[in-house]
Amino acid sequence: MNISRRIALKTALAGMITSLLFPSRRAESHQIKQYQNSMGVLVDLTRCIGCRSCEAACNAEQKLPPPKKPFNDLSVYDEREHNRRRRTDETRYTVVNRFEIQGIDHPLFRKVQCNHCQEPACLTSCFVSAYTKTPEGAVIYDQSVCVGCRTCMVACPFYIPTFRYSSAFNPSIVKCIFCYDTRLKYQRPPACVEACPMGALTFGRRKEMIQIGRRRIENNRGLYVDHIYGEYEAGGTSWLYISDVPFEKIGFDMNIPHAPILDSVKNFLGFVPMVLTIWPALFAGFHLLATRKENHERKKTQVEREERQ
Amino acid sequence: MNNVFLMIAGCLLTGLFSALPLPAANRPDPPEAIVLNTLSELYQPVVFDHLSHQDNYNCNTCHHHTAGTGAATDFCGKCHDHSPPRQELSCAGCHLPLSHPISSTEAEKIPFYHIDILSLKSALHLQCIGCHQDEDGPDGCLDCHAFTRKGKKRFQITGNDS
Repeated sequence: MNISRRIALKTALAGMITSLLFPSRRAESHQIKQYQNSMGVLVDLTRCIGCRSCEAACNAEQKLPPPKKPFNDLSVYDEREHNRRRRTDETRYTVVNRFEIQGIDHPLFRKVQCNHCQEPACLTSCFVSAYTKTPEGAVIYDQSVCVGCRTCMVACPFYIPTFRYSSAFNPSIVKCIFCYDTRLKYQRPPACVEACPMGALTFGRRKEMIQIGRRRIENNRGLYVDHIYGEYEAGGTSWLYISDVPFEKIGFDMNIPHAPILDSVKNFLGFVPMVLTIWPALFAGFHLLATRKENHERKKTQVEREERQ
Repeated sequence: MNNVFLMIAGCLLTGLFSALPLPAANRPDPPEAIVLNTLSELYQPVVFDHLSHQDNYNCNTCHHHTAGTGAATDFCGKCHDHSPPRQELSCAGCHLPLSHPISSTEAEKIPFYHIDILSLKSALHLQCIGCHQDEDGPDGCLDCHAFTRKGKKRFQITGNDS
């Protein structure tokens, strides 16, 4: 009677564990949802001259507050906050930063904005689903459901979503939305791309942007680094970069995994419900089983002792 | 004889951006100056001194596929050697105002070799700035472009600076 119960428990437990482990294994190699006509932007860092036209266009398009310095003031490139170059915030959805690199006689400029990941970490981390990846490629955000937990800010590998600290009662995350409402929805390029005088930003379907990037790398052999940043980083991003200097020298994080950020935490997070629901029951069961034997033996010895007496 | 090819966008001067190829004999002399006003919303027109450039540089430095002492690159000539595009002299003839393959139907129409053609604005800037940096020409934005009122507003310039 006792043994058969133990076997039943064991098989149940084994079944539970296998059923928990195998689906998660299968889900590991999941496919990223690819939209056929998803748009993208190819950023050619060899062309940018740091004129800040894109910043000015973004400010006008998104009706952002006026900046402290006018957009033709290039002294912003020397600004440092906590020894860090400028970052996007609630007053600017895109910034250009300057990099002086040893051995290269001209400065390099890098534009920063939301990269609009194929499988965004901000979206997957949001427990109220405030984020949406649209078929056009934009990662947009719905303020009306946001509770202001800021998990997306932690999740983003590019440090893009920022919090509107200026308003205490109106939690809002602010970031580049690919000009979705005003432009992308109507198949028009975002304002920054249209403003760029150097052709440093090229707008089109993402897969065509990858083709163009490859072709530029091949046709100018030796000029570019043989890599399109964003083709695979974080599972692929809508904004793609080609450069003539190693990406790590101009502030790109080369340690970002090529799989979506979700994949690196999913296995761990999959255990959370199990820990919360199964572990209490399981260990309570173990405890009962263990103490039951002790109790049983204690009773048995008691009976024996009584019998002897 | 080669100079007759130097008409770069006579029509740019008149504000028309579609130069039609003319028979060599009918080609007017190259313009002395060209008014570039594609960015007229934010910037005042730029007067490009064609004469001084034509005196100091080879035609094909700028007219890279078509004019002067042979094409600088033969990329276009592979297909267009004997066809009208080869005769095109104005920048705007090949470089359209926008290079973005916008609607899906438009994108499908873009042929294999025309996948990465610069927009007019990009072509002009990429053509000018690199050379101006090497040759100590003006290379700051405001060295060539003066803001319009709307431009000042766009760049949030208050007061009378610049």
